[in-house]
Amino acid sequence: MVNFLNFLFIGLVNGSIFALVSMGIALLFGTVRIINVAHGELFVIGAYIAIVLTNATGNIGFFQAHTYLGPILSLILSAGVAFLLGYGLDRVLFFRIRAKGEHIEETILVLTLGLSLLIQNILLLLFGAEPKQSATFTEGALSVVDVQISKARIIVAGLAVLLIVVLFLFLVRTKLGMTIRAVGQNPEVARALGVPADRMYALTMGTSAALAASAGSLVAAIFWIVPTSGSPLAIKGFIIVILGGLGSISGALVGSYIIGLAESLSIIFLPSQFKELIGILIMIGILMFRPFGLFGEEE
Amino acid sequence: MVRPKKVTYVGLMEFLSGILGLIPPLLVVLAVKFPTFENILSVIEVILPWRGGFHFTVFLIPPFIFGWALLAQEPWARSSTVIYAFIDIISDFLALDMAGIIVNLGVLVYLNSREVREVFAGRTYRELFYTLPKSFEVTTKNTLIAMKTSFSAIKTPKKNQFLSQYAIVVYLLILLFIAPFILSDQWITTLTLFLTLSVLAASWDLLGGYTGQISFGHAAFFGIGAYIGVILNIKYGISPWLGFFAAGIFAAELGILVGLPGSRMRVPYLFITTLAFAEALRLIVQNAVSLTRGASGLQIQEDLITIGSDLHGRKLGYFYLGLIIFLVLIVLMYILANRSEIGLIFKSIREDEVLASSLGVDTVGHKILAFGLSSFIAGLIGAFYAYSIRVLTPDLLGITWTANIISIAIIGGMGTILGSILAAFLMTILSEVLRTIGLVVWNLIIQGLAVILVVVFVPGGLWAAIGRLRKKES
Repeated sequence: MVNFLNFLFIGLVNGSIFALVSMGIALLFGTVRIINVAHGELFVIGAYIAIVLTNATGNIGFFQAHTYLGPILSLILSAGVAFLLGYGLDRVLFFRIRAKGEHIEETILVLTLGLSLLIQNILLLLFGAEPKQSATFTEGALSVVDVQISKARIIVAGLAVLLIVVLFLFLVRTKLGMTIRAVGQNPEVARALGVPADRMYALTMGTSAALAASAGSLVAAIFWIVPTSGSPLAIKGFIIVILGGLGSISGALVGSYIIGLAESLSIIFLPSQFKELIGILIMIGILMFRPFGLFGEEE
Repeated sequence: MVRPKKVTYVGLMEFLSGILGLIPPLLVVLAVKFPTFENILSVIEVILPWRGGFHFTVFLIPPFIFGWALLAQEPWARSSTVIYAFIDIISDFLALDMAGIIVNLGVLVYLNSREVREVFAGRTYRELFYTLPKSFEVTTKNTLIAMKTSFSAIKTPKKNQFLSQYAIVVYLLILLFIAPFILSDQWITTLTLFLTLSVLAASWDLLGGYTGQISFGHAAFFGIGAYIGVILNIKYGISPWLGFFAAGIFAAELGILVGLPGSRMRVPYLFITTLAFAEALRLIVQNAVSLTRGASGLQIQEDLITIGSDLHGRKLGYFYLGLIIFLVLIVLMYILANRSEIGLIFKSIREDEVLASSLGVDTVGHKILAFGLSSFIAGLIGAFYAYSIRVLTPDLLGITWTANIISIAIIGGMGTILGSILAAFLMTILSEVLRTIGLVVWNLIIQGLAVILVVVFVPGGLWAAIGRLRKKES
């Protein structure tokens, strides 16, 4: 029982992180109809910003007194930097590809593959291959029904859920969010109604990047990060997004928790090396019955 | 015989082939006259132990140049090859080399086939046979003209034929044949890697560049081929030569397995499916510890193939074996993609699948075919890589290799096959140079940057860029 609760908790924390990553992918695909292969690298950028920032500010008295402030500040900063990066990337690179008008999906796939190589190795150059971790939010653990739950993980999961809620509110309640969704549903009509679709695309790319980077800055507190940490997570994100229905944000959310829980709970029943395979097996299983994913619609 | 425009290019090639064509009979005579000379030859002789006689590497250059030119349908190619085949038959006869005679007779029969004759219309074999002495005369004349014009060509680069994409590939091939005589072992290993990578990238190009199915799991087929080739030998004692084909066929079956659902998918779905498939396969290989020894890697204790591997203690056998596999596979892919109906269908699928299928093309079937062919080649070259490198880790199936393959194909130019060769050459040389001066990381930074620049600014990649440069000049 203790074991089960423990893994349940780990599954929920991982699920929240997966959700941040995969919702970014789903948002980008649902709106702009492209897949960013370098999504995992944006996640790693966020993680390294958190690492640099918390390690640099950790010794300053103000931040030591307010332990939570450093990590939260770095979360905001890495999301901001990634947003600008994503916005810029769309404006400079993706925009040109879209303007050509044909084979957009293929071209952006290979373009972002190049991008991921570039970012990954620049990070390798800057930070080296040794695993790094940001200064933790807090030490110690809470004890719930004999289960030791680390406080840092609770804070990470809590912040992730908060970000997810903020994203949903942004997309459903604000005018900008609704405009983004409108462009995603029908760009021609949106353009006809005077929506600057290209700016919306850039904003979406920025938001997607910010989500990935904020996930990175959260994860840096509980896991060790290397420059190549991004691609396994991105692969998982892509699998989740397919499972939930490509382009469906709620699908990505549900899929993340399914995968997160299934992976951690599988450790109870199966040897741990099968953990990574579980996600793929679940994806295949779901696609057999629903070819367009849990929340996807037939195109 | 020769178009005036092509005089420079053609003439020099003929010149080269003329000289090289004289070498075999000359060596035979020398070897018979001076017995010690034979010993020297046997030292130089590095490959093809199954072909007796005095064949050494250099002898293979002209046939490949001509083979290449035949593919490029250069008007001079057929006649030159016929002449060379005759000379070679004589030298084979003197060297009592039955295999060589049969091969050359095969070449003659092929050149005389209707298919080839139609391509080089107007010049029959019979005509050539009767005017053989005359064509030697023509060759000599052309050579003189060629030498004159080539000197003037240096001054006036406007009509420069030496920089066509095809010519660069031919130079590269000549360079590869001579390379082992000049370079150290470290560079031979690099060049072996180059051969592997260029075939891999070209096979990805056959799938991604021609049918437009961007696969992000190509390394899985390569890696599984590597493991199959080695495990069949180590566990079951099956000959590595059969292992090549077993690896290819197994990879092709997996490719078709992915292609069956994949052929009906749009690009984003296919991307994730292939990615997930490769990842699953990598994890399976990593966890099947009893067969693959898992993440710690499978080591092969001794050479599985031992051709010419002990020449001065140098491992040239694998390099030349790789070179032959490389030539055969590249030529096969080039013909398939650019000179056959299947290639046309592939391109039509890439350009407009709906239109193609409405015109009666079996698009799904051909997409699956592309998957099968591409993964067959990846698996086969995977087995070769495994035999030559002798250490296998599950990373071979991972995203890093896939990224490398795709970026090389992109830099070379999608939908060109031959572009991959140029890009793979540049990239492996670059990486080796950077490695020796201790800047390893920069290699992939440059590669990533190159992919971005090519995708955004240079449609068609290196291959098309060289073509455009040439057009601008003339």
